Amino acid sequence: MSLTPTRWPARVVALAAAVCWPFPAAGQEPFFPNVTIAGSRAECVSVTRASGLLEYRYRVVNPSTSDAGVNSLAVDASAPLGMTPDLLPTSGLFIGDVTKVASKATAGHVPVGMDLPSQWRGLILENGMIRWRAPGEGLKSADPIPPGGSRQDLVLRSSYLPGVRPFELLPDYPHVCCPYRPGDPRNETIQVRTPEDFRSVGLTIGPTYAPDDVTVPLTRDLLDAACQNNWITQPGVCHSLQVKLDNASAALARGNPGAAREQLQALLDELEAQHGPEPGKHVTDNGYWLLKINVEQLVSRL
Amino acid sequence: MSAVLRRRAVLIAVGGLIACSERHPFVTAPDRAPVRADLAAAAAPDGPPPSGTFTLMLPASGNSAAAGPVEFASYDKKTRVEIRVTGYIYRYISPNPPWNPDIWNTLERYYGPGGTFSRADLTCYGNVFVLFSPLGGYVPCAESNAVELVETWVDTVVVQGTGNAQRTNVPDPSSTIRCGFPFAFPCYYYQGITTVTVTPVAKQLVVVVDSSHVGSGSKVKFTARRPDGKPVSVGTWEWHPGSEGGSTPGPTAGACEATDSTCVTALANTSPPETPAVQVGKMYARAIIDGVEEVAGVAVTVDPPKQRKLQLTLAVAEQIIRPRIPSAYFPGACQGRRYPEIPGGVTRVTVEARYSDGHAADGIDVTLETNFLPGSGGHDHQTEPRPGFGGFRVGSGGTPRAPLTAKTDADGRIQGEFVAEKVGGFERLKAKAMDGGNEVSDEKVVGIQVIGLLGLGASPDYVLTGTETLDGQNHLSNHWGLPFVLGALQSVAVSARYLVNGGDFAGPYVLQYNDMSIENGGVFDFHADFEPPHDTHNRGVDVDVSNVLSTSGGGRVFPGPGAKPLSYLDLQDVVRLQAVPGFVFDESDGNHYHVRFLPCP
Repeated sequence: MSLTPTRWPARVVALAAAVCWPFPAAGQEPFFPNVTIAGSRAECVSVTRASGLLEYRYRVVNPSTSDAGVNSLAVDASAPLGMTPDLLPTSGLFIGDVTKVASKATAGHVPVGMDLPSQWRGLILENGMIRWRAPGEGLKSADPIPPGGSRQDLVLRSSYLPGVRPFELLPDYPHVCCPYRPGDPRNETIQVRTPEDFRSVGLTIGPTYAPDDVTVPLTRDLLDAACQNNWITQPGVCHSLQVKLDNASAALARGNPGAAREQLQALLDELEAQHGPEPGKHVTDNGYWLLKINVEQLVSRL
Repeated sequence: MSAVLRRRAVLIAVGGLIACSERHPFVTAPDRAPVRADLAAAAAPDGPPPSGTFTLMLPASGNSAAAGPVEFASYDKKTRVEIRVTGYIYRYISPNPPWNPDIWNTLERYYGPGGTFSRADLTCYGNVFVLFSPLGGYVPCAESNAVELVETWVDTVVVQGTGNAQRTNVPDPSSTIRCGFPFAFPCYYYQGITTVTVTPVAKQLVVVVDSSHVGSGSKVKFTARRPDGKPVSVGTWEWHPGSEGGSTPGPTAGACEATDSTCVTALANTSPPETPAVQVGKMYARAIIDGVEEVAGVAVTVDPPKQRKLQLTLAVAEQIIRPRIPSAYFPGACQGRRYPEIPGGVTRVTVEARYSDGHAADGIDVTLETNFLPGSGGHDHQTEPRPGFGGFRVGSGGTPRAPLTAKTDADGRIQGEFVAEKVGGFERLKAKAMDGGNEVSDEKVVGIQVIGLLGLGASPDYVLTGTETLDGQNHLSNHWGLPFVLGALQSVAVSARYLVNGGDFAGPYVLQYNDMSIENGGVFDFHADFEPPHDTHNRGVDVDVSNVLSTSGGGRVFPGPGAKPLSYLDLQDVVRLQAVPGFVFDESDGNHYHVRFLPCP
């Protein structure tokens, strides 16, 4: 875990300190200042096998350009509605699975378990997203990822293989309402802002496919997606990987699994060689683990 | 003319006058009709006789001297009078003549007061005459064989006109044989003063009734009689209503027409039901008594028909109706959508006004009012009765208000509605009206409450708070909610306890549940004024959760240094896990969160 010291931007501190929300003087607008965590991101830094399951480790980076801490990461693990498998081995303060609440669930989720940092809370949201959240203290978080900080101890455990998944990061923004006493009609003129108004979203990888569902065409789609998402930063590398995968596909079509295995292994070798940060490497963590795990699955079934 | 002849003539004349007077017995103006009206208008048709006593004294004059005639009395109309003659006339009575007993026996002998009368010429001698002209007279002679010496001689007769009294002369004896034979001795003579007194006397006709105070519809028997017991033949029976008490009673059937001396009829009180009153009337009988038409009557008091009473019945269709739930708005929640107002519950109200005799009381003013039952609904601060909060409306439209006065329809009914306001509790609906000077009323209690509220019981997973402060004392039972809310709160408390204690379900820190709803729901008037701020804690879906934690069994903890805060996000997450839709809302007083378990509108 890598944490930088908590340092609140002055505007947020002023806001969050108002446990008793101050009544504003005339003209003292706005009540809800804007914040940004626009540059923050989440990425899967490793997918490892342990006890027959895949462990997805995520890193959240909150750039110093942010003026609020990041207090939660949610990664999409949704599955068709009704699919609510029991929780896989989990450590930490897991709160519950909202997808099991039929009246609220809008999706199911793939089999998951979580490892949670100390005092962080885990929750499976009604839309099938898996969420890690910093502990709270009153209206604000007690342990957010501050601007310029990061942490990568957020682990997701699953039997499912990775696919491209959205993520969502929320700022540590006090849930305050309202500037006037309850029932005061002036409250109705206030544009209340919530953390969701300042969220940061993007794509990462997460458990998506049952092992048996992984095919060469699916893998080809994932490769294309990785290229489109700039997880493989060199078009030439994309092309090279696509050729190898296509050759494997053709070999399989010819009924030559041996040739296919060779092509897939070559692909894995190239991934390994290109995995790492620019400028020397051209495959990011997300792209690497997305393709590596699925191709290895293909190889294991040949 | 001899006295006897004169008397007969007078009697004939009297008889003729009586016959004549039967056509106009008491009526001074013959063209006034009808008779009944005349009777009614008469001050006292059976009143006392004309007043006055007339006395005439005829002086002593010695033997044989006549006196008068002297005019001494006058009656305009036929009057029954008592004529009293006093004063002795001394006499000498000869022995009975033995030679002609038959003649003796056929002689008409008269004896005046103290006097003796001729037996020879069939004339009353030594007598006192009282003659009324032209309509009657009196000859105080009595036919009797009795040889009595009486000082006072009294008779009652009907007279009219001017009366004269005189005393006859006493002629000399025409024969000594007649008086004192064989001695010449006066047969009779006067001595002393003769007094003639004429005094009107009461009528002879009397009407009595077997019961002078009866209930309406009772049969009553009237009887006409004479004091002397002689039979009476009634000409007509007439009922005359009294002039007091508004309408008048009267026979309901069989007004007697017969000439019997009795009349049996039923009497009915005719006063209106709304203003029943005792009525008095009189039954009169007309009858000819001794040639004089007399009218006599008797009063009867007739009570109203069995005193009926106004009775009100108030019926309400629903015993429990919901309070009005004002519109609510939670800034930042529900995408800014406002919870719409839920109108107050409505129950049909029917007032039926009837008299005890079963008749509908139409057109009666009935006032509908409502009163709040002290302490009901959880409003412990309200210890005295006070007006209720709901309102009435007649029919099904219009603005409800209370009190409301409306008139009963032809069926004695008022159909309306009672509409609840935002205050929960019990209201006593009352319909009242005046019956005479008395108020009659009926009441029904209607519960104004959110159906299904239950009290949240104690648990080691949370602490119930909210009654520690002075304001909190206003509502000592402040944890009422709908069943699904209670279930959710139990679950929230368990999950929260797990979280706030670092994964320990039995850890020391627990939630503090403050105000939810009061017993009946409706406005939770924190300041005991039946007004918000707790405008949202009115339907069993809201709860205030302290933003600091308590220790299990440790009672309430107030925010302050050292108090362990409750994370808004933790509460939000555990609420999110409940099957019941809900959200957490920070309330600006800085010591609690507000949780509402209700889908957004």
